[in-house]
Amino acid sequence: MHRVLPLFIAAVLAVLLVMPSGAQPRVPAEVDAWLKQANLGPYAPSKEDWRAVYLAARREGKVTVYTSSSRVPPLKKEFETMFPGVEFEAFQLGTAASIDRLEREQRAGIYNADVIHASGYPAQYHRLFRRHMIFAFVPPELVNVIPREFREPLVAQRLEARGIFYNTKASPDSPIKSWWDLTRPEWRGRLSMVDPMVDASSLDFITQLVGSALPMAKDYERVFGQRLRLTTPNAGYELLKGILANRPRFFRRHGDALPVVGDPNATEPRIGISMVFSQLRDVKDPERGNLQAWAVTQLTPYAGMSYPSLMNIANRAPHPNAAKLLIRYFFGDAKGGQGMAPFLVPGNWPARIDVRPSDDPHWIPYEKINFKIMDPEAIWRVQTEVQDWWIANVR
Amino acid sequence: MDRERPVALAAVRAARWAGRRFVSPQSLLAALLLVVLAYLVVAPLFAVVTTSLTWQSGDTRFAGPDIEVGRFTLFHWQRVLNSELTRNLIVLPMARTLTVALGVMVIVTVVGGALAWLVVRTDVAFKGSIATLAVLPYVLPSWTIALAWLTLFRNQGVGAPRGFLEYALGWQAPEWLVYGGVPIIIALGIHYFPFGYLFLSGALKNLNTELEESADVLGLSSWQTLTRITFPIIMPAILSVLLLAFARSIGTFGTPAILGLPARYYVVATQIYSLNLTGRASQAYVVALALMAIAAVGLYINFKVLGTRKSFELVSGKGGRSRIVALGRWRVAAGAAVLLFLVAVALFPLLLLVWSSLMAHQGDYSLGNLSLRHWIGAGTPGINDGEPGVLRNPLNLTAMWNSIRLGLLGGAVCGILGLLIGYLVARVRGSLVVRLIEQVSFVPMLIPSIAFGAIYLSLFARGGLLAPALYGTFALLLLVTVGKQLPYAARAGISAQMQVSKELEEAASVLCIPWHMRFARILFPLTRPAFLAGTLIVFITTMRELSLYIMLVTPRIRLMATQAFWYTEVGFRQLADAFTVMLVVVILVVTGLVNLLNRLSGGRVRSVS
Amino acid sequence: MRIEVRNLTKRWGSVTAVDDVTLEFDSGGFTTLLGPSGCGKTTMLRMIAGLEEANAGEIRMDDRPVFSSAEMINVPPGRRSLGLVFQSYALWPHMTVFQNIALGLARRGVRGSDLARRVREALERVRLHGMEGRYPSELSGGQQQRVAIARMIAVEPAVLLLDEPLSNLDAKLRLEMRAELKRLHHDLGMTVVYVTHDQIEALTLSTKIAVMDHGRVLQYDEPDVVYRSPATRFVAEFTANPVMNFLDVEVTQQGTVTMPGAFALTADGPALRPGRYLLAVRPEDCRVFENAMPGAVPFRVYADLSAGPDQFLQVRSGDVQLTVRTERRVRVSSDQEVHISFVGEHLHFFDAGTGEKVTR
Repeated sequence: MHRVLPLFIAAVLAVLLVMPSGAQPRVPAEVDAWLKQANLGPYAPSKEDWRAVYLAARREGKVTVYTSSSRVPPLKKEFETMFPGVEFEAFQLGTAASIDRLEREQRAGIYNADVIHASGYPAQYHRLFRRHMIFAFVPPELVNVIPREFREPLVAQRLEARGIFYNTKASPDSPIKSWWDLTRPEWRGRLSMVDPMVDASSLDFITQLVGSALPMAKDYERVFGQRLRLTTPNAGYELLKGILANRPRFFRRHGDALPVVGDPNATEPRIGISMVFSQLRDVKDPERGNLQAWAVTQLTPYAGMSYPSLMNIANRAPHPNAAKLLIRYFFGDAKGGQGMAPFLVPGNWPARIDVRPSDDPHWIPYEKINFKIMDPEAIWRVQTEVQDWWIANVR
Repeated sequence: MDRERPVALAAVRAARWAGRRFVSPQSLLAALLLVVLAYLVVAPLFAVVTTSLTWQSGDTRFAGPDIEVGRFTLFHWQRVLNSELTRNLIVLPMARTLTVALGVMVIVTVVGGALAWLVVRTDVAFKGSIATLAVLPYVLPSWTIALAWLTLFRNQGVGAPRGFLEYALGWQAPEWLVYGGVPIIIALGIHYFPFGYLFLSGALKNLNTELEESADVLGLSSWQTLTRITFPIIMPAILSVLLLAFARSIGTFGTPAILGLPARYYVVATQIYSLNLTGRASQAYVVALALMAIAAVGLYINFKVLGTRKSFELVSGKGGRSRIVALGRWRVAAGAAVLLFLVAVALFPLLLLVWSSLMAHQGDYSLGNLSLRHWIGAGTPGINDGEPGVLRNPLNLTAMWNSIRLGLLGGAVCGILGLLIGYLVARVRGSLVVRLIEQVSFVPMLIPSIAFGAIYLSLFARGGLLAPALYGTFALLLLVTVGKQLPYAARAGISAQMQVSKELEEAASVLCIPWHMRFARILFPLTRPAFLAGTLIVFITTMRELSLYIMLVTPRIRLMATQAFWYTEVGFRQLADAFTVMLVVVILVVTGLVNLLNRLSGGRVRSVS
Repeated sequence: MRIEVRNLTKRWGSVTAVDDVTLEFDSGGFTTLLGPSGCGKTTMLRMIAGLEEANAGEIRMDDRPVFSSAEMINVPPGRRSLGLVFQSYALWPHMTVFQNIALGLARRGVRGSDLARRVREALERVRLHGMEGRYPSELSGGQQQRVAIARMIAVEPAVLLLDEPLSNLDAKLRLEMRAELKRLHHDLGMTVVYVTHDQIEALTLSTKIAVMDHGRVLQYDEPDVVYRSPATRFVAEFTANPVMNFLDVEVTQQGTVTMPGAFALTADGPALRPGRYLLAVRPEDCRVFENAMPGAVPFRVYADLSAGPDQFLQVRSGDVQLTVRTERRVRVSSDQEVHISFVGEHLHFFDAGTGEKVTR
């Protein structure tokens, strides 16, 4: 009996590990066979012998990662120095394309990527995870320093966030206090926005706005002192309608919007919507034109949406051991070094709670911003409806 | 084969009959081309139609979990054509696409025609420089012209950083001049007018001026001569130009994305792109099919006006002496004005690119800021995310190699297919099969590039009986290149083969020279100039083509144009500009080399009877 | 090699180019297909060559069927052992004269010095030696013509087909080339099928002529017979040199040939049933007398068209106009009265309706 009990407990734990998501349907036999062979998923050991993993990775010779971040490719040198014999191949595709690529490849039976390192939680969860195209892996020794929501069902490296940026040259302090301020006529022609029709994360962002109808309606009453009279299905749509009435400029990527919002020669206030917080690092980059922009940190009902940026191992990854190595490398060390280093910047917050914050003077503690954390299920549920509304109403 | 004995059985006779048909190389060739076209054109088109009419696995989001994937449904058509989305999803983009196409057609014909007339038929000054510069914009990737436009015209008045004109003159261009239809039309017009110039100058050169002179002798005024004689004769060339401008501009993605999106000016190409990116591929296909239907109507009208063949043939015949109009004291002034215009639209964007690529810090135009960092720098942490200079990134060299071999291989395959189609069309007239081949080969012209890429993506991503999973392979890029450029190659092939008398081949067949040798020894040498020109056009188009490949390139198979666009995307402006300059240099060098090789290999072609 | 054509028919849509033609080309003969443009003669030639496929019928070469619609046989041109010289010559412009001739030989496995020798021989045959290195565009029309012939005879075909080969040459060169062709035929002894619309060429060169019109063969005979005894009005007219006189005549009960209001002939005329006929008389079959003679009809000189040794007179009587040729010179002036008689055995009578020859 005493031999069965630990097994039982382990089994229960394993079930629990998967159950909260409740969601990944039964793993097909051939995928299960692969997981077993790669020591992944339910077969991941409770303690990794990293020396052995490295040796196996060296035999594999390479690790391939699809990433949304331009900060990943430059890590090549360090990674290859740390793990000689393992080539580091990073393809920076952006979130939507990374997910799209992986899905297409998996469906075509092409197994190219080892790790997908990107956000887009709702899409990754529904399109990839639930179809057994990606699997979570957390270095066992880090389980204690990574909160559960960053481990299950999918593994996150850090929190990213989207919100509102303003031009600090034209107005040193945030020119707005509430989302509803953006619907005021004075902002007509001064808004820039990443186009939700092209940028998947922006679509998530506006979907979350629609999903927050209740607090939005309350906030409207607070700001304007009267009840919101709905001309659209809910207060979230009403907010979007008000913003659209101010004719924002649309950009395909936040990289295009930032120079407009942070134009150092701007004489009038400018606002950027659905801007990525981690872009705050570009603000200081002289190569990018000495941009003058900063994030709105306090806003009612919330200043922005934070969401986990994921990194998980692809089904039938050709280099599973190297993939594990890369995941551990991305988690970095306790000082926030290694693969975490480029992500320890203002606007990013590591999933590891033991990593001390950056000594960057611009660092904003997560608690200082009233974020709303992304609700992937809600977003997934109403997204097409929001998108339809958007298509029908933007002209 | 030589001698066959009579047989009574009808079935055997029928088999023999079929067998005999297939023995003729033309029949074999027709069968082969039918298969190729079915594979390259018909199958993808069929896949699009079926995809748009069935439930896809991602559609649970629209219709709940109960749908059966693969089952017939009109849902996507209904959403696009008859719902609250219709107006913004298809009607407006379609109207704008057609507006843009119309504007581009006008610019390409008028500017191209005026330049052609000046260079071919007048004694305008600086002819050589004009002729050279007039081709340059086509070599530039179209989005670079769009970016140059923004650099020049954007201003704070439209909520953008100061552009050059505001900086220098304090002038704020109105919004319609910065974003939307007008700048898209102008940028695309600048990009495609070399087409008009090349076609129309060719037509004018070949135009026998004795035809006009006889009109003069009969006392017609210059205007009457122009409208009654010259225009009708070069009309096929004009219609060819219009068709090309139309076909190319409906499928272009980069320029409308840069100049249109900020003002919510969606055209069909950007609409297809965005629908594809947001999980609405089926709706994207419906939009693409609708555009193709409209394009087909346009092509049909074109054919009706001139007849299939004429509309793709340049005026040929032995051109007599050219009648040169003396511009008198306007000679130099006109030349200078034209030169100034060309420098502004052709050289300026290129120089802007070169300069920008040499700026250490973006936006600082001082001489002290010049640096080769973005070309050969090793990459500095914290600057451009530590991205090294374009020449230091081994991926860029791979991309270059991929682009070059894709362009040359694609060009060669297209050229050969074009000559074969041309051969059939010119030799076997009146056959239904051949007419079918000819018409199907023009179909890709109707399919917007971006949709064409998306179609191939859907067809070859999964793999099936006839379509192996080619996604992520070089072969797929080659296939899509050949498929898309085929109409242009077929056009060139037909007009080349039409000019070769069929008796030249018959003489060889009488001498028992087998078909493949006839093609290799007689037909190919005689059509080699056309083949080479066709190959080079496809090469240039492929090198700087973005729309076709943007959805097909994979991390492993990069191309120069998509790589340059990627630099733009992530905001590495100087790197993007440096790489674009590199792209232009590669195009010019390879084109020069091919021409040189041709000359060295002694392409000695005498007058073709 | 003997060529037999049986019931050959070729249609282009609704137009029948060759209509149920049956012909036999003698081995070693020089047969000409003569007719106006569009008569189907070139189509015939191209069907014999195998470049065109007939809708029905059969072609045999030395009893071997090379085409048969019934038996589903169509031997490709290269295996019919024939050569074809095109009207346009169809020289390959990107190849030298040598290369043009050598290509067909090389195909037959001739290599090296043998190849050079046979190209040289072919060129010597057409008297063009030393031109091997030239390109077609560097040759005159006559020279191109000879290269086209040399290219075909170099491979020593059993049959040589020629499609209006002389039509692009000037008059003098044409005469010269006629001699060359005749000599070539004599020297090589191969079967020649020749297509032309020029009756002089046909009469000069051929051993047999097939006169064609509207896809049918109207007469197939030796040149002399065709000339002396045309089978139809059309043949008579087409083989005329330079013209044929046609007269609407009536034969009376007594066998007198009369032309109402002009003349009456008796004597040597053939015994015909009474009725209306078309009478054809060649200019050289008329006799001209300055004085009245029995049987001669008075005419008035309209114009004297004499050139060199031949004297042609155009004479009129009322509405009737005749062209006559005299062997000896007669001194005449315009409007002078002359007397014309016809040589009886050379009068051709055709049915006024069908144009068929009428025999006695």
